[in-house]
Amino acid sequence: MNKNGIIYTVVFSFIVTFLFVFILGVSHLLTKSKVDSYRELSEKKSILTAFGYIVGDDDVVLEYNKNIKSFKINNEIYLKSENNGKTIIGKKFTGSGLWGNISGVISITSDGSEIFGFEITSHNETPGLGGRIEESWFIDQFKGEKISTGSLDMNKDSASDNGDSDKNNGSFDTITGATQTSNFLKIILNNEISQLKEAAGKINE
Amino acid sequence: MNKQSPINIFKNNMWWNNPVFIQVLGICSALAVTNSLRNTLTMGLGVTFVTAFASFTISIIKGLIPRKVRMIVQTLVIAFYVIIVDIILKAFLPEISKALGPYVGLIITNCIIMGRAEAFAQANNPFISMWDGITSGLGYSAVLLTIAFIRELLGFGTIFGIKITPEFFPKWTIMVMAPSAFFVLAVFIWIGKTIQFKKGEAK
Repeated sequence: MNKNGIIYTVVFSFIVTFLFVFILGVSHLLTKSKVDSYRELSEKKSILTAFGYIVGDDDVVLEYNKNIKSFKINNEIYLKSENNGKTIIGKKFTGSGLWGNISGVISITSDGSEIFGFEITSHNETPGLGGRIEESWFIDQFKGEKISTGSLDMNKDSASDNGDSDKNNGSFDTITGATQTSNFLKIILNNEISQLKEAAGKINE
Repeated sequence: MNKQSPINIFKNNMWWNNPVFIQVLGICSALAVTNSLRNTLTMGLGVTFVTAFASFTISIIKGLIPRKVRMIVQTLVIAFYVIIVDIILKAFLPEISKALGPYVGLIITNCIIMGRAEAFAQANNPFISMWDGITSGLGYSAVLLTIAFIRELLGFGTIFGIKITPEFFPKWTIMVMAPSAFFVLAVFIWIGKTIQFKKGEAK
């Protein structure tokens, strides 16, 4: 058969494509459950951390089922937990960042006075710049930050690597060279916080 | 078809005909991942693996591939191995998979892999093609690791995430951004070619 004839070309292309894609399909299926369980574990661990529970990987599912309860308001799922006598409510969020979606978990005290916990679970921001929103110095700025007086602000003139340690000023330091990502995150967080405050009001009724 | 010895292939791909600073291939990833040594190392291993196995596979089936679909079939084989790397990372090294993000998929576009398939695997036997792939990947990794060493040290003050520079040393934020990769790579090409030129003159 002529290797460069049209029949051989079509048949060869079909067989080669089928073979390689088949192997990929099998590999994907063989690892799917592992990938899915990691994703679920990772998400539950982030939620637990945002609610103040630090657990080892083996205890994640147990601790999650023990401590985190979910409830629905207006078709949004909220999470609730009692931690040391305090009621904390929170939710998962996904919003627009600079390059893609930013996802995470945020929780506030049920009296609506301050942010309790905050975690970033996924984003597509520029590594080394906007991507630094997942670093602990940045995230720690939000924990315990006062929100009762209004929405969060950015300290644009004090971009830093240490974070704003003042918990009462309702604002946070942006990342050096990543003002846009910081701004997108601010918009996302203020939106989520206002929803959470509303939900907190509803469960306290 | 000149049969090169394994030692010559090694020397050429690591130095005299290095894919990055002599052939100027694989530049996109060289700019993207080199602000972190850890990401660079993983990328280097990924590219070496894919280049080696893609060259090996293409060399085995080279006699069967019709002329008209030669490049398409090569792209298929390269994409196959890149997706295998992606699946392995997601299943067994999920933290690294998350850190590398879109960069793994971008290995498919790395010109070095297609370059070696066309220039070497199409005309040589499978095992030497695999060796050519391995050494090309190593040459690529060596250059990238050098660039990443400079960028991470000056831009973050760390090596593989471990803080090295003293507190008073200011971080060169530009080293973390894309333009610095251009500068460092350009200096590398300049120095590398100057050394090669001088050695050539001395011969």
